[in-house]
Amino acid sequence: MKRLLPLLFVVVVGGGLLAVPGRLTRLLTTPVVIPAPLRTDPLLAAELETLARAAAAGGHPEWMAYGDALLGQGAYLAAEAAYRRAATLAPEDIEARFALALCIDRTGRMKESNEHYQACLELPEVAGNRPSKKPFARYAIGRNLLRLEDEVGAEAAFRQNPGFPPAEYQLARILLFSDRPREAEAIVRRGLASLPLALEWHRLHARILDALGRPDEAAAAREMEERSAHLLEVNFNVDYIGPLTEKVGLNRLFAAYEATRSTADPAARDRLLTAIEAAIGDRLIPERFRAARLRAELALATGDPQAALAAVATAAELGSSDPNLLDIKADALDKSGNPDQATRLRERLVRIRPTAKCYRQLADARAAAGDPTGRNRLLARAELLDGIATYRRNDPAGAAGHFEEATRLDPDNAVAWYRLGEMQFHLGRKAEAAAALRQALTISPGSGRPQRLLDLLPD
Amino acid sequence: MRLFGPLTTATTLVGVAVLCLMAWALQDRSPEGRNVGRTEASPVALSQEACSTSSGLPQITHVQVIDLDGAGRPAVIACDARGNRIIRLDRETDGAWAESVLIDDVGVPAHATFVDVEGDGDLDCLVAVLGDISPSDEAVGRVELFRRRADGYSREVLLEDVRRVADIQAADLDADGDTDLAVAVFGYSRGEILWLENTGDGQFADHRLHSAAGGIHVPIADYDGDGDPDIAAIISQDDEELWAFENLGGGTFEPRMLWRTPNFDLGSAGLVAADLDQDGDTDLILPTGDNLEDFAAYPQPYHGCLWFENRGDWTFREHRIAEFGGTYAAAVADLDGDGDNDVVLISMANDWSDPDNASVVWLENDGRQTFVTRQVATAPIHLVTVATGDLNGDNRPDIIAGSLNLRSPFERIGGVTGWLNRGPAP
Repeated sequence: MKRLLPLLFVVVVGGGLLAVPGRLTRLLTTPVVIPAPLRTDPLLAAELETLARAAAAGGHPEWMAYGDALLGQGAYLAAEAAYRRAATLAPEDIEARFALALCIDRTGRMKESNEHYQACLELPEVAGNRPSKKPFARYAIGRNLLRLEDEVGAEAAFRQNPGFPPAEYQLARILLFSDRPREAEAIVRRGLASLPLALEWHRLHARILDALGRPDEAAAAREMEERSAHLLEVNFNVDYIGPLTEKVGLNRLFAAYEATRSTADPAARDRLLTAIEAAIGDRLIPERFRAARLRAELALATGDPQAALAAVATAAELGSSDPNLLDIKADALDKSGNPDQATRLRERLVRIRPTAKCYRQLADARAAAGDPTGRNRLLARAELLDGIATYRRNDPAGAAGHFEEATRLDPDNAVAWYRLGEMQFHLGRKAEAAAALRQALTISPGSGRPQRLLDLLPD
Repeated sequence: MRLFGPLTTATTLVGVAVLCLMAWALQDRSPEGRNVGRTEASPVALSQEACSTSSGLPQITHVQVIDLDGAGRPAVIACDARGNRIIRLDRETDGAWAESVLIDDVGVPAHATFVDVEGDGDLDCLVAVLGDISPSDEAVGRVELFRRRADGYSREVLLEDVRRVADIQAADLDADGDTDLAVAVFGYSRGEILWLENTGDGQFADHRLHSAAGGIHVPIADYDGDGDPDIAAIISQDDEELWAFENLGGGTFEPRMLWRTPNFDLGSAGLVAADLDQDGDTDLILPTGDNLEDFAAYPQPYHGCLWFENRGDWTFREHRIAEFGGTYAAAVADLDGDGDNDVVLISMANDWSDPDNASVVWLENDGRQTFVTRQVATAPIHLVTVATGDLNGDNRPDIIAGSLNLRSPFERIGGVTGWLNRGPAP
């Protein structure tokens, strides 16, 4: 055996020296390996490299900045390493620990993630005005338990988070699906008292009322769902990561460009856009289409329809028939003295993605062609879209005005009559509602929605 | 002097320990949740072909293999969301692919269903109009019918003023001799499942079956074996639920929740009706792996494929038959010609930072519904739709898939891609 030891020594140490140094050297000399998916953004590599070197030479804030930049690009594993370093350097920093937990969470390691979220609960709050991470950490623990299909554990976790609407929402769902609808309803009613236009509360309320055998109230809850625009932070990671996406790379430049819109300085916008276009070059990435759209918009705004058409053509060559681009193209055709081409394009556009603006432009064209009926039909469609948007902002009275105008312009439009009836229903004008809904059914006897609403009205 | 004495022995042992420690510290440790579907080689030879010529970053939302003309030569039909059109791809006898536009100016088509709605002997096309590829609660969806004419198709809007429509299926649901429709209005925060009653003269009456966001597919089959068509639906937004609407006759349906999971993050991505175990009833196959709600998708441990075995009396037993990160669609066929049904899966959101991770796999059935995952391809990536059919007339099922290039990395770009089945691998 002893004779073999020298050989073993050579094999182990020599082999180790041959095998390990590559990775060891990389680890020691290159603090960052840019994840492959990020390399398609031409600015990202250099900016991340700078942040990484700053982190290697700096401390906790630099590692946090580096982690944020990576997380904003969806590089969870790389961000995890950065936040882990930040959390090591500042073990009391709840922000670092929370971000670390989130990275582990989004890469499918729920139990490990929960250990870090749990650790957040033991850490002191950050001074200043930043919202507390603790309710989110408690909520995330419950979410991860749901992902592990541990409803009992999740219920206990959500009960630890009273007053945090997403947690109460999840708790109410668990109660509903475990045959405790009355307890669930009490939570939903509390939630609605504080957030009366929260969509999720109304949706869940409808299901609970179904389970309780109260179909009329369930129908009313579903109608409220239609006009509720507030969303609970049920999937908080999107809100958390969203602001981080614009910290580096092309998104940073696009954010800077958007910020110049309010200044209305075309020259400054042109300079920024030129920088974006130069960075993108001929890379096949979505940002190229976005830049083309911005270029077309800017050219149109600065009175250069030919440049706008050229930008649209560039995007079209790459297979895009984005309605926004087609809309700009139609406007550019108008401004360059080709109204007939513009109209033909808009006729295509309303088949692809109708907008109120496009309907109004087509209505103008019909009026110019001496077709008042066609004009009114198109204007009615524009009023319909405006009315629906108004209703979604929980303004049924305002919406009713649009729908009324739509029925005046085009008395044969069944959808306009239905929508008018729907608004009258919500405004408590039962007789007017019934009359409008019946008119909708007269025009389109097969339409189910007016009939469903009529069924809710007294005879 | 003894060069290798006790000191050397100790040094060697310490060296071994140190190296083991370093190797452990420096190894590429995959997260415990990693689920990438890297598997054994396929025993069936599958040769890859790019079928479409689309440039840029294609967004193909649906593919199918169908003999539109009844000429015995199936074509590939694809919904091209980026181009707002339906395209047709024909494989010529020399192996080249010819691309043509079947239907133009349709706003982000999610699904095309060919059925003889008019009863005149040819196939009309029902298009589920999403209206917007991005999350949206706007009423931008439509049900559009393109009636087959000698010179093409004529457009008719059957339903508008609804949210994003993801799927339409057709059957005579009320047994009155005409074609009715089941419709999945996916929406975003709000949505619904409808059935449209054909009332004659081209009119369809809409009836709500269920109110929930995230309805993806509504496969129709006689799930309870009572002779009439029932509707199944997968709901995938806030809730992850599998529903059936039992046809009671006379245009009435009884809703039945067949399955749900508390795991809101499962990512149900579609629903396929097929008799997977060939026992004479219709099962359901559920691919799971949609995580488009995240800024960046990452494979989760629960991504893969579930088979819901129809046990009769509206009981469906859940079986997990594959783990595969980012699974977005499934298709059923006997790929290896051994008489049982295999399953093809494609991935939209695998961990694409590793070029060896699969984008296409097939699940080889041993005849007892135990499946072995076989890797087919690692490119193209971002696949969201898959179908099988005989593309080259050799009586073997080939694979066709479509890419939705929405997310980074923008590499290994594909549009519509085929894998021709060449039989047993050499």
